[in-house]
Amino acid sequence: MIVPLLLLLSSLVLAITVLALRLLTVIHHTHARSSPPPRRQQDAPASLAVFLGSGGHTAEMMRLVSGLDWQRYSTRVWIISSGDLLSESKALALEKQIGTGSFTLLRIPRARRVHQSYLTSPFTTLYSLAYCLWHISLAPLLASVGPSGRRVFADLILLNGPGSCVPIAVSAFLPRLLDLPSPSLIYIESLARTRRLSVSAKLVRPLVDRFFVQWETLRDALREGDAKRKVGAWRLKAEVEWEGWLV
Amino acid sequence: MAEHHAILTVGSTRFDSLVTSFLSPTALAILSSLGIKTALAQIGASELPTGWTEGVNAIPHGVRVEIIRFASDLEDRVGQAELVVSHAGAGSILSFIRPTIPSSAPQRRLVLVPNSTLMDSHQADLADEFGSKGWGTVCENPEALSATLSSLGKPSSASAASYPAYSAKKVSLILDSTLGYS
Repeated sequence: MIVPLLLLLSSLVLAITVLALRLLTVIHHTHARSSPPPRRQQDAPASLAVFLGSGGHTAEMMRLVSGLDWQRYSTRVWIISSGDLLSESKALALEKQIGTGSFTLLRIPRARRVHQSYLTSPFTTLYSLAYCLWHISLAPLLASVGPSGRRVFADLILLNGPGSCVPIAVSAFLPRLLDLPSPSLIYIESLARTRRLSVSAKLVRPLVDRFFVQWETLRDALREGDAKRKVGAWRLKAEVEWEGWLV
Repeated sequence: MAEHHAILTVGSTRFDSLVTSFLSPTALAILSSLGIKTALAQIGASELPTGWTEGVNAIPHGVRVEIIRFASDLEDRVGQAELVVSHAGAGSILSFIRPTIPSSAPQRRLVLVPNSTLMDSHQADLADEFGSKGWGTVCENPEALSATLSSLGKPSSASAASYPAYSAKKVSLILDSTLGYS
């Protein structure tokens, strides 16, 4: 009786250790890469997924994407929290203006509402995560190839918070653990964050390819903190970038 | 429409104390003395003080007050208003400083009231930043709104605040370089 139990336990420990090591290695490789991404043909189309995180997040995101070349980003996915009608109407209005290419809406269950307690939010977050895992990590593997000939949810996902963007980042990152193609991830911290990062920014920073803040003082503070906390040669967070205001 | 028009905006959240302060007889009297004829109060999920209803309210103190929870054209309206009293949320501030429709008001003013009831609050930081650069007047405490409004005085001839300009190219470059379009 004891022996099989011990076997089960030790194999569980082993599996978790292997998974954790794999995760750390993949995160490290995501940020240690020094070569530029493989070159793309100028006229090659790409697919872009944009998360409209409601309220101010949506307002900032609409400004972030307002100058994109829609001939290039010819396939769009607008990710919206279910019930967020305002973001949905903004996405539809922009698509009407674009009038070229194709787009879809993906409505995900909410991870956490403003004022919702941190006590109940793990449960809603789990449901949200399961939904994202299916639509972002798994379903694309079974679907036909996208515009760039890869089985990915999108070539690029643009995120700017809030907490509900974490399950999206996790789901998009996951295929990398199995060496499968995955979307590039860009996180742009809100203009509202002048001195400290948001919780969602801290959570997604290890997973995203590029991480932007919009205040120079915040960039400098983060760089200083990173230098202090450096652990050996491991690179477990995206380097912080600053290009001025992006909105 | 745009001229002599004030807007209160609390975004998609709840900010009871600011709504109450804005609708107080003192605050409305000061708005009137500043030459404001009409006011729009966008209250989001806030509780309305007694005596007020959604929609257009009677004309107390010479200011016609319209109350709404949300509006799809709020961005346009905030961009056109002469005076905006706003929670210190990035979305609302952007509506003010990057108008979708040019405002006809000769000088536009922004009063920022940080909402400290939000979780993981950061609104005070953003308000401080805007205050220190002279891009807006900060009212630390919603109860002090009337005092802040009365200290605004008549519009001066000082040049408009110069916010960093918007460049659509920056984000394009970031996306393109990430994907390998050089």
